[in-house]
Amino acid sequence: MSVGWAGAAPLLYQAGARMEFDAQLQQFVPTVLPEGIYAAGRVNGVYSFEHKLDDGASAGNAAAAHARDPAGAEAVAPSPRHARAVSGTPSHPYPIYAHANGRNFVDFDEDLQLQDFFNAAQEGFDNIELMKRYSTVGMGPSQGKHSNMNAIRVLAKIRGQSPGEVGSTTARPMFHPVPMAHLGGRGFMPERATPLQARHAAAGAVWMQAGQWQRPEYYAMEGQTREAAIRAEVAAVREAVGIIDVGTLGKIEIYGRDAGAFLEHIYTARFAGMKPGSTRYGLMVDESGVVIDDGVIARLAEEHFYFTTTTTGSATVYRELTRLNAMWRMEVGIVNVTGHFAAVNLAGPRSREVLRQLTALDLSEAAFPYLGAREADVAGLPARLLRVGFVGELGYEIHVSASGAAHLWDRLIAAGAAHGIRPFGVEAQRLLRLEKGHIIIGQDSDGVTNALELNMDWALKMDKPFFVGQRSLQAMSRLPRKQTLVGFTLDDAAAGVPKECHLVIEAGEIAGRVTSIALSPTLGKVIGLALVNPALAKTGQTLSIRIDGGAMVRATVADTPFYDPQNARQKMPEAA
Amino acid sequence: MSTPLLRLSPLHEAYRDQVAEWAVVNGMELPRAFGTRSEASLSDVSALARCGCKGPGAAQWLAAQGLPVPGTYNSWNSTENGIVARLAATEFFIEDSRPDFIEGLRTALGRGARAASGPCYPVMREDAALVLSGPRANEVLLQTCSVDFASLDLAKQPLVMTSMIGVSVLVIPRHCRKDGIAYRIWCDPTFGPYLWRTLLDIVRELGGDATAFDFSL
Repeated sequence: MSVGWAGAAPLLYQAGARMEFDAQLQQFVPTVLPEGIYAAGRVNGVYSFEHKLDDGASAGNAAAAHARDPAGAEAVAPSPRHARAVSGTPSHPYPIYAHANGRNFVDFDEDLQLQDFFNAAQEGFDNIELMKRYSTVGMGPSQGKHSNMNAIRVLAKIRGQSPGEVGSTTARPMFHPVPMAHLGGRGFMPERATPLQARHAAAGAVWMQAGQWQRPEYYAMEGQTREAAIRAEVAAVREAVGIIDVGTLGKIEIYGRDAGAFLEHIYTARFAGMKPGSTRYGLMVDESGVVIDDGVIARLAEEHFYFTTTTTGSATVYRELTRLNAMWRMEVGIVNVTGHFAAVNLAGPRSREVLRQLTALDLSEAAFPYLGAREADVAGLPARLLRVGFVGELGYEIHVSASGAAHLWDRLIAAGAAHGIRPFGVEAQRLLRLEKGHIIIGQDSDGVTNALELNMDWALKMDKPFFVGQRSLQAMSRLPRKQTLVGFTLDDAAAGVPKECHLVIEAGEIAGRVTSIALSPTLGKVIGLALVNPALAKTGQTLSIRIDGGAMVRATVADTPFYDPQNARQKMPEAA
Repeated sequence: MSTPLLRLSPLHEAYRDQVAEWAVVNGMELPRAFGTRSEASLSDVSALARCGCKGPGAAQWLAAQGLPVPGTYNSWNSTENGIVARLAATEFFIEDSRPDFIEGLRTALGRGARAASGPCYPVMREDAALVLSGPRANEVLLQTCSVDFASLDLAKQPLVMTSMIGVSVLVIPRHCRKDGIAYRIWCDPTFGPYLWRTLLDIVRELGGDATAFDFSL
């Protein structure tokens, strides 16, 4: 939102400048400046480039003259009026339009709405200084830089006066402009790289930002468009074998007698009775039941768990676990090994044959089934192997020490060459998991989405004695849901394809939004996930989605997973 | 027959294109020759072996292994071929030039051990490890973190945990024969290339360069 300019005048106020409201400019401008103080530019109401140059030159000359001879005639502050723009003002006289049903925010720092000002005036706080103290307008981090002038306008309107008659509040130190040192100093932008960065670059990675990480979005191939390259990566995983660097996932170890019980407190599933050598999906919610993270939890030994978190969640989850155990005092050791382990996911119907060349571990379905976890040497490196199914194919997440990652990658690529192995990037992975109906926290959920709304009841062991967020989920389970995550297929892609965050409209009202959408090459149609009003969640229900330009397209609610609903791909027979 | 190279330094990619001659130290490929040292120098010593442990019984367990455990946290003690650093009341970091020695500790600790004062758990350490030295090394630190290393009493063998250019680091300043004070710096390996590139940029501005570390010293 931009409805004009409010000059940064606090320093002039603090220096003792006299300001008055200029109705033509719709801003306060200095009329009398103290000796030795000069102003130039927008604070003077000067907006055109040429006028600003003139204004700056005349203020600068006067300042220099004052430095030479403070009593000299040339050192008198020039009146800025001559330089002011005469072509109107960029500021709107009253840029506040109340919406009958909406919230009309005036101060974004303090969450103050238009109604708060009306209420303040009605309570008798109708002087600008009193209104400021009553409402806290302008007291937030931005020091009123964006809200003070509009608060004055609102009060002027309430009192039927001009902003000049209402006046402004007293500007007190400290006023925080951007320090010059911040602009002139060295800029630091921390970035993280997995140990496979150079391998990706050599394979033609096109990068995308994921928090502090750079990740391959896809691998460019000569003569292939972006879409074609992603489709080829998807096909490699579905039909042969693909490999993706998942080293950015958070990785945490929990040791100790209470390790299983501790995880039962943290995650919504059961872990205490889990057998060593197995994995389980872990869903983490906060005290209010909002989904905050997920990952795969492996029990490597009776008192040793190793688990992954989302890429952006590792530090937050580790801090939270440490904080919680400071209260609970359970006998556990929590170790964040995110950067110290590298990880790849080798996925596809031929992944077993590729991996078999590099390990003595028995990879047969009976010996190492879906959701199993094993520790064994792979390519001569001690490794942790997890049978996971995020992309919906037979797959092995292989975790090794960071220093061995490049060696592991090279050996897997070499072993997979005869099987058509292809590295795949984040875009292909997103598409593959969408076909499988797997959610991405933060994409298919937001900061208020609870586990029930994501239809993750299956992951909630509500009969456990305790887990963080359990009480809130119990309370919410008795209330009608506000939204539900559904799968959908687009009826006619030729009519236009929605994007993520496009709105679902029902009877002229917003009834949801698209969270994920893509053309599925495997299924030959556009599929997606959407958070919608529960009344629209029934399979076969038609959804109307508003796309760019305002056109409406139709989609149909569909069951998920879209692909391999029986999970048969995880039980692929072994190659002869 | 040569042993296949298994390990790469976390900093390898940051300097790979600038190195003509390589050496293998503890199974890790490192520069044999680099720039020439002058005002400040930056070296990669990630090939040194290291491990960690934590828990209420960590101090006792380490002492039982014959290691000189520092009495207070944020300090370190020398061992025959390395150091034992105390990061917190119950967390330790061990570095040694002999991989077999570290491997022995790892094996002895396994998935955890129990001392009289409580359990001790292993901590995997694959840090990026650097040495910053030379007459202007402290100037590099003044530009990159908020700790005044010149005010530290090195006789107390201090260990500093701080943020350097936005990265959490451990720093140990220690006297060395050739360069006055040398600063050992460790960070998460995934931040290593960024830390190396940024520090080297400043080191070069100050008239220094990257140098190959002499592990034979």
